[in-house]
Amino acid sequence: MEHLDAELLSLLALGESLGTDTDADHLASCLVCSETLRGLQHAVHIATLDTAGIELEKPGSQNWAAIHQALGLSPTLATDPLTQPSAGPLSHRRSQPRRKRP
Amino acid sequence: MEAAASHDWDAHLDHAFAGGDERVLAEAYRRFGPLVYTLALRSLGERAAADDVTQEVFIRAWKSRTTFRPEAARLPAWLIGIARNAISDALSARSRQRHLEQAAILLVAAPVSRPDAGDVEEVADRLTLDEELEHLGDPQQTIMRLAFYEDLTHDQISSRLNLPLGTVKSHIRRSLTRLRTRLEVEHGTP
Repeated sequence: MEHLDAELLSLLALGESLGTDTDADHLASCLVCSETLRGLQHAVHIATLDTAGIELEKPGSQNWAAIHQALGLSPTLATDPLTQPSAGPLSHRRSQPRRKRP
Repeated sequence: MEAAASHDWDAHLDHAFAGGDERVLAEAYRRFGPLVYTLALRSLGERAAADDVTQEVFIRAWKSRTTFRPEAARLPAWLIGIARNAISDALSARSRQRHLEQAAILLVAAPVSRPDAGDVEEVADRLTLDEELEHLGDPQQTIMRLAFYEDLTHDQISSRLNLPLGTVKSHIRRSLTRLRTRLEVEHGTP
């Protein structure tokens, strides 16, 4: 049979329940279609990734000191920004609650 | 500390950065320094090397700010691109060094095992895709946001936006393929 329709694969990657049993059988046995679907699913996974809760390490203060010095930045910016909770008026925070996909 | 999302990084900060506002560099470092540092640390495995990359990324970004085009790119994704280049430069410099050291004794370099960088790579990729989504234009961008963040089906999107089903499906196909391609290009596996 022919490969699955690209639109169907995209909707499947988004988690919609579509397609016939024949489509499902083809997908199970076709490397091309299953690879395409995997790639699209990965894009969906990344685009909807909930980044809250992923732990990052904080670079040491010597890093900002080196950047500050190398670029000759204003003395008012000498303090490591990571030791300050927020840069005040610059950060227009608009936290949007994001639903996590099931 | 927790990963920084890009959705609260305003476009006006991009313009201020391009315009030479040093405070925005400091703010970008506060928001994305930990991500750049952790990416480098996971890839290079040494704090000293991750320090070097982190400094280089922000120094390079500031020095080349006039080549940053806020109308075509977003600062978070742009920084991630610079970080990926700097990390890859550091890896090739290291492998050249290893090659030199080992050429003398004719040893084949053993593959370097590294801690899994999975989660952090995905956070960086998310920033890249956020930028790509903004490039989609409308109605593609609205369609994808409804599918991604409101979990609507193509049927529901079609009713919501009053667009024909076929149009919605074809936009979804093209947009999703574009996002997939961007990730592949970003990781050098087209």
